[in-house]
Amino acid sequence: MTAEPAVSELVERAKSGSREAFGRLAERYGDLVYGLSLRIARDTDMAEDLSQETFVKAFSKLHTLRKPESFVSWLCSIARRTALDHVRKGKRELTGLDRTLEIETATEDDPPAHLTGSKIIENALMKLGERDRELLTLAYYEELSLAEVGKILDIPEGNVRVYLYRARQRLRKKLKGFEDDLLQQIG
Amino acid sequence: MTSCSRSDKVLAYLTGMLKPEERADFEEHLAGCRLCQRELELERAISGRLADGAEAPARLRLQVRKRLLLAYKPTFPWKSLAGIAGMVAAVALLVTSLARLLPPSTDRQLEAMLRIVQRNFASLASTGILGSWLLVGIALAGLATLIARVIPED
Repeated sequence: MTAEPAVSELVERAKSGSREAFGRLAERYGDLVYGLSLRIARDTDMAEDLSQETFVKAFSKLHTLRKPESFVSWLCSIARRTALDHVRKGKRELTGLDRTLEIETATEDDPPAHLTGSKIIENALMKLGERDRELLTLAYYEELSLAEVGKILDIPEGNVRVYLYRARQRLRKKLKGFEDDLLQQIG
Repeated sequence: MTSCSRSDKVLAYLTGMLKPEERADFEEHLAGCRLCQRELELERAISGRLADGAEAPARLRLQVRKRLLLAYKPTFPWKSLAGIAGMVAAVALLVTSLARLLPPSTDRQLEAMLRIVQRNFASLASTGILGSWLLVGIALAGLATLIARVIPED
């Protein structure tokens, strides 16, 4: 089995016009771009469209990327801007909420029992503010440092940890009533 | 559910918000507090789920590939060729006409040079070479039109 080429190598090849190399980058970072788009747009179908748009934009602007090793944070910035532009146009946000948030109408006293751990977290995330959703998506992506996350989100590097702590506190509040479900599923 | 009065420190501990002395103090408490241990386990589980992230549909890569193919379809650069041909024709016209437009007082050397160019053009035409080039040009233009029809611009 051949080793997966390094990101910077794929970026250089894609810069020379290789769609195959760019396709591999899209495969590698598809989940990240889709996740960020989903957390901003809160609509699964729209997140798919926004992800495609992000990759097409990234390919057309690849010549402007000076440091191939910054590809991930550069791609995240494009994904974020693309999704935010869409949300600010305010076209699909409400329909997205209807489709994605299965427990939106459930009360904390009456949590649905069928949800998986990932779904519980996803639904709680969707109830947070836009900035918290973005931060919690990017900060836990292993290839991004907190400094890079701060740069993408325009947060001063020294404040990223504080913002993250507060976002986690808010998330924890939204998870009230689901603690046992979450612990059972990891046990 | 009962909770420890210090369980609110768990998240600060986990996210690296505690100062070294607070951290050491909390770790000491944590070692003997079941409630804080449970809270830490829960917060770690949440971190794990966040790190898992969302999963993109398997078709996304194919869709991206399709979009790239549509957006960057290779096209025959007939517009660039037409532009270059236009520029060449304009320069040739300028050079051949300049000699006629030159006033008698113009630098004699330049006038002589342009006359030589004019004379050469005339001699080329008289020997039929220019006519041959014209035919080649028309044939190339026809070929370019055909190729442009076969390959759509977008």
